[in-house]
Amino acid sequence: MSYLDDLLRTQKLDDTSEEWKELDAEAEKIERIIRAAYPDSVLMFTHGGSRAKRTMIREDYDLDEVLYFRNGDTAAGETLEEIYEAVAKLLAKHYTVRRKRSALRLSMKDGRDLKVDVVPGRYVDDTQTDVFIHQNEGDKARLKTNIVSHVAHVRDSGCTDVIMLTKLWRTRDDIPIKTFPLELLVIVVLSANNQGSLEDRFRRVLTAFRDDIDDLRIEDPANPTGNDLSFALTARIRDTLAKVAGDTLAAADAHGWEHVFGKLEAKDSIPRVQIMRSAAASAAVQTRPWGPKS
Amino acid sequence: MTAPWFERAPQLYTELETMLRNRYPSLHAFVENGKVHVRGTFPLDEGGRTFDRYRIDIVLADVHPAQPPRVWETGGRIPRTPDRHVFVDGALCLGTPLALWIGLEGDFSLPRFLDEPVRNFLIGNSLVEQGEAWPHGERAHGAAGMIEHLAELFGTQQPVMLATFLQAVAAGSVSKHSHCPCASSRKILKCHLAGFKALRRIPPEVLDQTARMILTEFAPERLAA
Repeated sequence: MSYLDDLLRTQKLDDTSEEWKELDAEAEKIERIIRAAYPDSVLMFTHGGSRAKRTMIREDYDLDEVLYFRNGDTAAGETLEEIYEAVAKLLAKHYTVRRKRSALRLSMKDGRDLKVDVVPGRYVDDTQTDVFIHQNEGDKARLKTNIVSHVAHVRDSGCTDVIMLTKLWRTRDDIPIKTFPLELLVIVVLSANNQGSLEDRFRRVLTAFRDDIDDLRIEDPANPTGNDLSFALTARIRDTLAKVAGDTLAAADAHGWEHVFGKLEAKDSIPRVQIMRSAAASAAVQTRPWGPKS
Repeated sequence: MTAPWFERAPQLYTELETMLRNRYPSLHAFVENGKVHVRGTFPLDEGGRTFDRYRIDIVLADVHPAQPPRVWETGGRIPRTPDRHVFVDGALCLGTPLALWIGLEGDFSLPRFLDEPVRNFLIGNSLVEQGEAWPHGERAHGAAGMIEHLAELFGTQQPVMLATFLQAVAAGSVSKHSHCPCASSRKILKCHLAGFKALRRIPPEVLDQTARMILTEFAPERLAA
């Protein structure tokens, strides 16, 4: 097993992990609140995002819960925006709600982030496959999408291990790209050749980001011609991906992957605060924070 | 208009990138709008292991490394309030300007800046999040914090005395044979010599700026005069 395989193992979240159980408990609570508010609606409430795709990583995870009303169901509103707002107002009685592009981000009233996004929408027709969701930003106020198609595209790509590692790289290097376009990029790069070790394939992805980022094209598997993903892959994001990928490859070549990602996490027997105090005590120069006159 | 440092000396920019790859592989240099930003995550390590990590954006000074960089925490983790030692624009208040100059001996090269005041600040913030105090204490805001620091160097908290002394050092009109500002009646040589030596290494404009801030808050009539 290589260092990168071991690293990935420390990042994996599964059904037995505490983080996963906490998210599930919160999701069940949210589902109860919503079902109670719309007792006559037949709602589809299920996991989307990395939980469903099996690409969650411990260092940066959240739970996407999709909430779909049936086609023609107006219990929460006539329009998609009305549905979005109605669900937001309902959840605001219990949580602090932040409106994102299409999702509602939930925090506890005391400010603690629950790491849960709720995405309301309505099925396009009675086949209950494609849905319309409201968009706060961009050219279109509504987006046609298909969560089942998204999940299958990623989960069945054969690249979930590289996707998880690339997500960790994105998080560690603070690259401002959203998860879904990053997943699509990895799949596009590896669609030509997905052979080799985890390191081989991760290197292939970073090399493509470094050398060919402007040639990489992504499209929404749920609506390839209809949904424009250019907002998710701007020139600035492409430049950042190329620059950081180049830096990372150079650092790995010179010093190895452990230098890039650090020592593997180990269960510390020492309390975290004690480690912090020890780190503070080792300061070569003891500086004290200051502030402007208030 | 003088070109920025990374255009005048591109090899220094290349050295910066190499240093980042060698020492801080999750930080990366970018040139944006005529400024060099260093962005990414900064790990807090102890015993070779990372116990915390912050998203930061550092903007290097136009005369880097002769002036201190400015640092923003970009993960939304540190509340942007004075109580958490954050300026109105979100930059972290790592220390009084004078304390940073003295503590770093005027060396604002990125490794030293990251490993000392930035690291100290972020470890302190991690402890504060856990309900602990700042490990090395915290300065009062505004000129009061500057006086606290100067009092440790010269044994007096007299604002006018300290400001006047800073101005005199800036003007080069005081020597180690002058009377010590602590009012001991002794010469600096026999009194607070270490503090005086530290101040003499500071650029006059930094001393003047500190003096003006002290006078503005504690003796504005002196400033007008």
